[in-house]
Amino acid sequence: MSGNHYVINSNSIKQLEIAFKQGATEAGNALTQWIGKPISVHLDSITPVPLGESMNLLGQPDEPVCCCIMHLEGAFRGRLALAFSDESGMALSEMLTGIAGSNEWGELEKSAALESANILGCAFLNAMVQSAASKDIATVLPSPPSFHRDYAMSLLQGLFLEQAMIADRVLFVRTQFFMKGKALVWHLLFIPDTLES
Amino acid sequence: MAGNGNNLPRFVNMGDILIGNGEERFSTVLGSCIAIMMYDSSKKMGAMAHILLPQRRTIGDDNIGKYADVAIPEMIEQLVKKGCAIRKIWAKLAGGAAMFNASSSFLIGEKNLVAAREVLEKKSVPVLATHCGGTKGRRALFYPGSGKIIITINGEPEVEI
Repeated sequence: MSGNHYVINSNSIKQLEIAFKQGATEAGNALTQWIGKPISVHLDSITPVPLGESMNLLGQPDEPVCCCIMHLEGAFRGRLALAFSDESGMALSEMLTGIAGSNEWGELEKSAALESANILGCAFLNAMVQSAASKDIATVLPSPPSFHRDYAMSLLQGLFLEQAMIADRVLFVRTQFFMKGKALVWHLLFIPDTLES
Repeated sequence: MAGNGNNLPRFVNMGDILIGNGEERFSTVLGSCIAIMMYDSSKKMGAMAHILLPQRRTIGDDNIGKYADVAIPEMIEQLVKKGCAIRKIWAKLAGGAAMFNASSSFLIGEKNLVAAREVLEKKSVPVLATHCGGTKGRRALFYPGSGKIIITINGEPEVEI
């Protein structure tokens, strides 16, 4: 990192990889405790991609998706976003509340998603701060998560905007979630604000 | 939805500029970005651009469809090359939402809109309608052969502008 500008090179990607592997383990443990079912979180990829390609990260551009977003301030600015389809979000809510059959995003369902994002995000950030490779992000301050449901591409434009202002490629960290060996359709994205190639 | 099949609209990705006519349809999805749609009724021909930012960062950046200040002149030039008359072209704009208010860049949508309006005014292209601002994303469907534009905000009825 250089000031607020995250520099893409093999060294910085390696640092992020170390930090996020640790974060994924901690996040899996926290989520398991929160949901009451064994969940593991795995680092999927840390990839700089052309901006246009990044718009398909969450599926079809005009598919409505849900996103719980935490804005990060301090030495390392950016966004942490837990994204999921309606179906996956409702399944998460059902696991937490025990209320089956809901198919609308009411206050209870949103609250379950936001609290999950908060627990997950904080576990990730704590692990990153504790990681020896990322001492310089010890002052990261996350905002409370906010809930958004909108077209996938609209949300991604908002998430990647800061990077797009100064670069043609965007960097993101993507994770996968598994419950009893079965993949869950949740995506945790970490997007640093600014970046230099 | 985003394909080139016979029955599907052509998807206009960020930085793209498409020109069309006849039965073609163009679609895009917007957050803070702006869709600029131009139409010449005498030629029954239209253009759609999906801009991301108000100004080009560096002269060397040849992805001119990303920036309002250079995408708009390019659209006009392409339409004129196809036989359109600049005095007969009108424009309509959609997008420019502030997707996340907590973001330091939440005003970029508004800046995009201001920049697009300024360039269009400089080029003497009238802006007949806009569907911009707010905090929600939009889907825009453009019929370049008729100038018809349908805007949809998720969960709301579609509107024609």
